[in-house]
Amino acid sequence: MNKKDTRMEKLRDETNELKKQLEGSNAKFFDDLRSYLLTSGIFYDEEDVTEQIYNVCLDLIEAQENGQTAEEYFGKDSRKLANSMIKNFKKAGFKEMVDITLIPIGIFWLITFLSDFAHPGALKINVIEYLLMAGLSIALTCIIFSLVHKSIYLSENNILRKSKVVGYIVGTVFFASFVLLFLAISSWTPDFLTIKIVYPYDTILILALAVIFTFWIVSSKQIYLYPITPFIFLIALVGIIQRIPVMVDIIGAGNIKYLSVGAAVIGFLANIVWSRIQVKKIAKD
Amino acid sequence: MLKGVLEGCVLQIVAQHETYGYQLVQELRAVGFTDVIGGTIYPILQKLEKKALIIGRMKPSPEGPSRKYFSITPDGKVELTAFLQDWQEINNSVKRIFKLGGKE
Repeated sequence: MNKKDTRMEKLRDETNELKKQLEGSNAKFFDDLRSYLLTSGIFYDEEDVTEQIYNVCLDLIEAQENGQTAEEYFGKDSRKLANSMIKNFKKAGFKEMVDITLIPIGIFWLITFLSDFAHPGALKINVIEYLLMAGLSIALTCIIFSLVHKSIYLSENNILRKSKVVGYIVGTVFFASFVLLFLAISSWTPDFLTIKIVYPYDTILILALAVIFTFWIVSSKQIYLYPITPFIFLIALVGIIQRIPVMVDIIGAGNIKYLSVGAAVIGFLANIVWSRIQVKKIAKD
Repeated sequence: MLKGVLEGCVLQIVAQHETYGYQLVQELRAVGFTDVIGGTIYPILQKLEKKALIIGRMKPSPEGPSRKYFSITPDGKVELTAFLQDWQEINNSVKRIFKLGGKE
């Protein structure tokens, strides 16, 4: 982690600690405001946003100590006021924008790459498919940010706020549309711009990527990515096994597909269990 | 125009002493801006900081954790002088209008 990341993490931790001093409606007011500011866009300077939130929290605590509610101090139309703050946020620098963009693109490319790698035979990388996946990952990130942002200050009469069922249906339709789009890109992208990588270079490539990925998530403490690692490593392992002739002889060519399915299921279950443990730990902290 | 006046007042308070959001709101309320709220002041502080008229520094507060204190910059002092001149001209114009109205 660089100096800026360390400072942001410190400010976030301190804000979480300070927030415990806010009571009842003041705590709810701060939570909504914080979520609204954090989801205002992915291209704002994260340090500026984190620092503003920290200082607002300190001021709300002082207001509370002096007998004022968060609404009395900050104002009743918190959405409008928060929008004025968002307008004045510093924009992210070029490097930060590249970093933010690379995370969703990297995850989507990794999934696509693992899917390509899981197929027997020479590794084929469809460049057009990877470009479309990059576009889909950015669009998805922006849409999720925007949806969460807009859902925070929904009016009392909004159907999404009134009915959990409608919210569930909208969420399911959105998720299903995304999965369909993902599958459509994977299945129907024309392969006129394809890079073919033969054994053993494909295996060397996946091993190198696994090492880089592990080094990156550990060194930059990307804790939220830890749960997905068993899935990635198991799929990569099956891909490697099916490319080594001796291993195919031992396991049997017909059994490789069961190995792929088994690896995917175990990886998926490990992801769910690890994620739940992580969420519980965060909630407990 | 009123927003500009508030910006000038914020600049004047910050010029007098280093301050932070909550303290600033209380000072403005104490001098008569009773409707001023934090939600109005934060964007003004952000805007002034963006224009480099004030500068924010995190420093320990007497109550405990570090917080962001604002102080005026040389550019801010120039802007404050310009604001005072503008304000005096507006003030004189308004006074003249009301004085004429009174005579009639």
